[in-house]
Amino acid sequence: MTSDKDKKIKELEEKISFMQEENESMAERAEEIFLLVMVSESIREINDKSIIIDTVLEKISILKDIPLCCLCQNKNNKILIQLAYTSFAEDCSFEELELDHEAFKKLENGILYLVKDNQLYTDVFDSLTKKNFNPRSILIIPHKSISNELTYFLFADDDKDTNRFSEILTLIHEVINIMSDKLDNLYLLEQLRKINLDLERKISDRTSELWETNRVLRKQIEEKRLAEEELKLKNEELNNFVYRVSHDLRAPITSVEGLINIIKLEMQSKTGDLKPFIDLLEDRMKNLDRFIYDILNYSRNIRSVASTDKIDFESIISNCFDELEYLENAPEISRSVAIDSNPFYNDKMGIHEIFRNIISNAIKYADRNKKKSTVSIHIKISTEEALITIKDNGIGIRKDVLPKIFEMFYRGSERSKGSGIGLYLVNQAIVKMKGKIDVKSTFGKGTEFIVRLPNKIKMASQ
Amino acid sequence: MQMKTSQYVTVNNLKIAYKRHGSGESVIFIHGITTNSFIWRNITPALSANYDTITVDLLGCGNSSTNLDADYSIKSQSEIIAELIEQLRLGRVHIVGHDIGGGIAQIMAVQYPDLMKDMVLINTIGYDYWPVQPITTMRTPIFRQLAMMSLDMGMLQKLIRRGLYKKESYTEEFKQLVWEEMGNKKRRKSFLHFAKCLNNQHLMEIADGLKKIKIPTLIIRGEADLYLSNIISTRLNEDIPNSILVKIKTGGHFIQEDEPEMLVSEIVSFYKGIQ
Repeated sequence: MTSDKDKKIKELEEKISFMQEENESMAERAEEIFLLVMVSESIREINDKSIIIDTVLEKISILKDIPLCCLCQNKNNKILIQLAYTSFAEDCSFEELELDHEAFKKLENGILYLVKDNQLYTDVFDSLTKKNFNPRSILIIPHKSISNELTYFLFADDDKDTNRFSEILTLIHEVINIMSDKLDNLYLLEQLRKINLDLERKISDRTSELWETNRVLRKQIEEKRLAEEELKLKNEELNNFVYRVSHDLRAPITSVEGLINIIKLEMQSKTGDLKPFIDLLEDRMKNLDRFIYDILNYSRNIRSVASTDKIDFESIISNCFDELEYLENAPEISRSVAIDSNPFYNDKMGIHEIFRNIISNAIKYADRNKKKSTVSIHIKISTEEALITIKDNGIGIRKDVLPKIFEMFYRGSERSKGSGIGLYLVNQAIVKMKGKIDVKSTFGKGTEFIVRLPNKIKMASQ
Repeated sequence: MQMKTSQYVTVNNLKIAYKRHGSGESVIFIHGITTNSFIWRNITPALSANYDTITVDLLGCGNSSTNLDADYSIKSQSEIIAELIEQLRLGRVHIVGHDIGGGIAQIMAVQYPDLMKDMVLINTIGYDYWPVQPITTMRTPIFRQLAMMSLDMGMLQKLIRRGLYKKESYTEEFKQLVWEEMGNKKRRKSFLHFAKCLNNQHLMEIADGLKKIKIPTLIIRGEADLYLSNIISTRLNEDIPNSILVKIKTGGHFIQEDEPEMLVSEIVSFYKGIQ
């Protein structure tokens, strides 16, 4: 009876013990699943490599009770600890671990498992030993990332049961795989981001290149259009010029021919006085000569490039008046000239052209009804420019005529005897010298030309 | 709620934090694991009118030092509290201990009887009934649970709820206060080091001493405490002469959250009864 009871009790005890073991193993498995879920959950939102590794190392350490968990690198055949979680210290630094050739060879093929036995790898154990940590077993797992970077996970335990790592090796591998997947994903994303960025930069470079080419092309087209327009204008001017020149050259010749016929007739009759006709002849020839002179000036002007000369305004003005001495009213004109003594540099020939033509007009179009005809010239010189005003009290220019006076061959008055090219030449000279001309005139009262010319004193001193 | 910044004493180069309110005879409150002095926040205001209440943060907890190479065991903690009583020149004090704090109070009652007037043990650990072996591995379920709760808010919530009798005792405030004790890497290390330093051998060593305790002892047991066995309180009541056992039906392990007023009235009538 008793032995039967004992047997039953023993059976029950065995059953209880078996169930306890089963229970424990199930609890352990549940905790493993908890660890895996927790690891993948906790790193899901993190995108920083170090933080991910840190987080995972902490979780392994706490849940599997491994005091030291770290990530290491191979540095010249030494194991260098990069990131470490230590349960026994807040922060901890370690020296490099020296592994022999054989150990590294083992790591090429898989894990390395070291147990403290006072003979092998004592240096390695010593360099991990701290005041309150005395490692008894070490596990090193090599790991290759998708970028082919070789790292090592190192775990060190101080438990007397040095077999503990073999029990949790699979779990540790699983955790490392979860982390590794996440890190590989991050790496691939980063690569993708870089490629994208590179592509964007290339596109942007190409676009700006295209923009630049386009801009240059547009500029060239615009320049060409302007050049064409100018050419067209010049062509028109040239046509006009040829027409006017041939016309104006022919006019005195026709006139001379007429006079010669008259002279011939007069000579046949032998009664007449020839002198008035010869005077007229002379006058026509002089006109022709002046016209040719103007045309020559025009031609010279169009070909010459503005030079930089020191300008003696007084002598230029004086020369101009001398040259124009032959004009009908010239001797009666009274002139006043006021010039600054400051130095001024620009194109001497151009300035001469300006004064000669404007003074010439002032003389030609003097108002004979006025008691006294005057030309007054004021020149103010600064380092920047010369401001020239030439004022007369002549017959003035009608308002409707004023805008056209700088055109070629334009003659504004019935009294015009000239070529109609004078003010055109003035304007051309001013444009060439990068100056400006303005004219104010009141019909019957007089005319004032205001000319601004840049002072090239800086260019001259260079 | 009394919110006052901590004061400190230094013991063996370690800072021990405490908060002090009121005046009268000194009462030292010792918290348990997973909490710190905050656990008394609903108890001391009612007592500070007549008592000098001192709530201590144990070494490794709250605002006290968290050096990981220090000994956080209950034996070491009891030495530290004794030193604190000496340094503050408190004379004989009333001691109130909860959970691990009750274990510390028991050691003190045996080792430093001259420092104590009486003691109150609330849901205390005792003997080797509390499921803590000398911890060297994760094989002890309580440690595994503590480790998990330190890492996961969801697990923490479950464990807190299990420690409470009333659903409404679970508040966001209480959860946050517990989480602060272990919610970051540094605190977690210190918290787990504390758990690992626990050794029920330290209580087995004084088991005989308990029978010689002369000071009045009030043992309060929350009948809904799912973490600690009711055998502990019954056996303590049997072993400690002059001890009274009070059972509170509606109290879980964190009875300070479930029944603060009841707790206060039990303590006050205990002190009055002694007078």
